[in-house]
Amino acid sequence: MSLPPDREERRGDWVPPRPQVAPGAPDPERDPNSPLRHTLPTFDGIRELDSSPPKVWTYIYLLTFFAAIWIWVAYPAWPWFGGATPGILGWNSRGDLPRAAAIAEANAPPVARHFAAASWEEIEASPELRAYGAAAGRGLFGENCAPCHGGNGRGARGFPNLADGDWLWGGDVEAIEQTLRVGIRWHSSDETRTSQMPGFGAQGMMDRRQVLDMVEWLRGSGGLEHDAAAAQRAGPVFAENCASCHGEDAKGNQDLGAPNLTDAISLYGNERASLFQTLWHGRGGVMPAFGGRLSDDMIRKLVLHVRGLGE
Amino acid sequence: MSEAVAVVAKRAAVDEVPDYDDHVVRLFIIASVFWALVGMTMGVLIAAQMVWPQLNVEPWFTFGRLRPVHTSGVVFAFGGNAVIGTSLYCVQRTCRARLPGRFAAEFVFWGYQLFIVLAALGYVMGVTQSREYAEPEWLTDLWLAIVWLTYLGLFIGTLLKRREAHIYVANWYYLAFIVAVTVLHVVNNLAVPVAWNEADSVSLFSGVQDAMTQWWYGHNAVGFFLTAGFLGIMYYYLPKQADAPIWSYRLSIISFWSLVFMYMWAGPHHLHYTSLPDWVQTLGMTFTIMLWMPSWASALNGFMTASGRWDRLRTDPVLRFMIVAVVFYAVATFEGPFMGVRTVNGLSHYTEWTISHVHSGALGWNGFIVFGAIYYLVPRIWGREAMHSRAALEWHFWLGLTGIMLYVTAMWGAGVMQGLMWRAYTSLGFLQYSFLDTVIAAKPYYAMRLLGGVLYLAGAGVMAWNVWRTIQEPRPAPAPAPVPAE
Repeated sequence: MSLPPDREERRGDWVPPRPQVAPGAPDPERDPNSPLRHTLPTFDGIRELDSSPPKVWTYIYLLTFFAAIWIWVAYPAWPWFGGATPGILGWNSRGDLPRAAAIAEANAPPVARHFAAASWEEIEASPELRAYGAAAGRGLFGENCAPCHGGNGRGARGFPNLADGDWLWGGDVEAIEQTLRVGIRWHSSDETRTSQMPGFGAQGMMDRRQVLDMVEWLRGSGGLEHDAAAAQRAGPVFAENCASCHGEDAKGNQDLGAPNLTDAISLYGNERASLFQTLWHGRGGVMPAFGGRLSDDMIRKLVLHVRGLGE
Repeated sequence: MSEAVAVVAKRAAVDEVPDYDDHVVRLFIIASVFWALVGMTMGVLIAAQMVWPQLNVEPWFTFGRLRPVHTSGVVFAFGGNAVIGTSLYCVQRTCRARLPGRFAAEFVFWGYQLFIVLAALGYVMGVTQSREYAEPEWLTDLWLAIVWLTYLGLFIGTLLKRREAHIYVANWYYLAFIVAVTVLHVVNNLAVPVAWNEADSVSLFSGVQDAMTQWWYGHNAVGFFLTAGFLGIMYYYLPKQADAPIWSYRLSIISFWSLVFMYMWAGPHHLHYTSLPDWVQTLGMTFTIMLWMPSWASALNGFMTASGRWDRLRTDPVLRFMIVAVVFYAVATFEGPFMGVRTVNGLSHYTEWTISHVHSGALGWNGFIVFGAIYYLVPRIWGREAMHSRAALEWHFWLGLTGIMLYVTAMWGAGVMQGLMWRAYTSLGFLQYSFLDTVIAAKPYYAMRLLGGVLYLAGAGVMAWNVWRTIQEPRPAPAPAPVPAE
């Protein structure tokens, strides 16, 4: 690398000398597009050639400008007094939605209109309407219910299994529809389903011994391994405290959301610790009300899907 | 006689190599390597959380809190330290002038590290203003503004002291990076603190203006932080490593002014099909399309600068890092304008395709050009002959490239799949899949992405080891001083 003799020259059009190239060898720095080679002095040994951009590059660059100008003409683009330029195609996203909805409406199968106008009796009587509703409900279930109940509706601890045929608040279409509409213990619905499993221990209605006995009674009732003597002791405790909601036969009461205690299906688990927790502190799971969030039509579709989960 | 002395003195003043301030460059390079490990580890961790959600340990180590630690860690801590360090090395040499202030340089370094630590601690403790890539709260933002303005002063001070007639093009890009980031940082973070002794603040913007401000900032963080700053690296370190002249001065200047002018408009393409007015979306989209060729101009300049030296790709892993970086720059800046088109965005937006795009740019372009620059710098600023281990360079390169390919293809596949699933209808006209279905379908891709991230992190670990060993090596014996003639 050679440096210029003086700073003054450096300011002018001084060009560093070309590197030595063997006679006949191609000049590695020759640019056929540009007669200029070294426009500037070197920077820390870096020299700069001044090749012209390839033609194809220039053309594509210009093409993107033309495309942009066309898009500005065609679509809403530049702000102006009283609103932006609307574009000659007349497109805007606000107009797009009703247009898309109208197309969907026009393309909807006839069964969709039948379903919307049908009563529960008519739907129950028609396999086609039932199948349509359940198919429609599947997508709704995935968006609204699956986060708690699981994609297949089999639930999780604290979130009921919807596919086992064991219903807390009733399993016919009207009951499921009502549950979906008003929710369970949902704060912002006036009609919501309410009932409360009390904390028998925490509220002083049972002492610790009685709660422990009751746990054995519950396990026995569900047909699980248990301490029979303890369960025996709990019999009167059950009659006094539990039977009013869960029934003398312990088979539950769907009007109150009181679960059947004889089927070994337990929302919060059958382990002793969990049963103790339930009896001592009570339980009160929450399900949101979907009335208002979903249309009546959507809720009916969901009902059909949910009811069909166990089939 | 005295005239001759004056001429000699003048020559000496021009040709003398100043005693460059490389101490601060060394600090920035060490910090960059350190934060690379931290930031990429965070990335691997949150990628693992996508595969095993149980790894979300509440409240400090949930995905929501660790994700900004990852993004800030790799963009601002790893990338930021690298760009600042490389810029201070480049600007001194291409201006043949020492940095104007030793204290100011050290202040920029330690002040910037303090900013990073404050930001990261805030994130895990839940202190955030929830603005993407600008999560730190107002006090940390003010501190960064002071540090950044000092950096601007340091850089401009060196340019003013320069003993070259012109300002080299890499410094143009670096300067655009510093100036634009100042403007972006200040405007996006305009906020009113709820109290002088409270961390929380309320943004000056609201509603759709707020969204637009955030993406004006967000996209220009990509345009000026991750593009202009890193093009500064490319324009100095690529020709140095390739030992070749810049192919086209003209193209570098066209690219510069086009990028500077157009990037500022492109933010709205992040808000397609939102309540942002249609006309803003259209403008953002068109400037995004026009950004394609200016981006390729710099990529082309990089390729053509190295052309004629292609044989060295076999033997010189450092140059290979840089060229592969330019390849990924070209790929990402083609994909970007494509995804910025409203209808394409309808498929790609909110899917992992965006993640794929970002990481082909971040891992491929930003990561690899920085690795190249670090490998160029470390032997020079520590006065060693070469990096400690050549084999480690090769390992880093191939681990990194394999990691990128796995990551980018996995997320691209997942993204296109998600986009197609979200718009699939049944014959009855209902959505075929729920969102949950698409999450379950994406899980194998998340595992593949995690593997890619682990490989990339492993490569960075190899680099850290290699840098450490290079610094530990004894200095080569200095060449004997020439005996002055009588």
